[in-house]
Amino acid sequence: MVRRYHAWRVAARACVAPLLAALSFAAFGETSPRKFYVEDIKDAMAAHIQAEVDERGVFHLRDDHTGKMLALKFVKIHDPVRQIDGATYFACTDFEVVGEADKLYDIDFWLRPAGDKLEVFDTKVHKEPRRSLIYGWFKYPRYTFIDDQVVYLY
Amino acid sequence: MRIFAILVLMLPLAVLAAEHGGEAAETKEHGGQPAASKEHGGKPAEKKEHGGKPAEKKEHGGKPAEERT
Repeated sequence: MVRRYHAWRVAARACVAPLLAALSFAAFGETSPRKFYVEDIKDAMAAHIQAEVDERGVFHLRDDHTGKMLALKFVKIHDPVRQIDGATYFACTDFEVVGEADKLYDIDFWLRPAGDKLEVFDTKVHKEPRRSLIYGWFKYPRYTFIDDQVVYLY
Repeated sequence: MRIFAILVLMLPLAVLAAEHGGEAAETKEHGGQPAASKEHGGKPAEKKEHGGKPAEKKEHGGKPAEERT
């Protein structure tokens, strides 16, 4: 009787361990976030901007702080683009005011996976153009980052 | 008066009659200086408006994304 019980226990262990491994792979293997790289982030940003601009190439954005509509032209993505956490990516960009190339907005974009691509889910004006008698137009920051969180300066 | 005049005149002779030149060395019960005495040992604890240290400010959060190899 004892010998039969022992044999049953050994057989159960032999079956259950691989079954648990297979189940955990099925559960977590498919849902673990795919890793995205610099090119993926830049491609997603290019696609986002292309989708948002009008026929004249003007990017319309509501200023998240003032509520004012901005008409901007894309200038560049700052290097390096960034990874905030396992599934949040980030790009900082420059846009100029249409017709006033010296007036630059620094705009931040947050991206996250949507299928096998990245999609922008948040946009903030990081720096706005301000004019100084000495330096001319410069980008004045509205916030900084502390522990990866936005902290407004004023 | 005469006695007083005699004593005054003899004073230089007494100086000349000193056994050794110079001044006598200072004598002390013990060498060194007395140790500084304090009400309590150690130093006063440092007072601060707030504990901890200021959080680090960064231009951007996260870390640079990786290049695909």
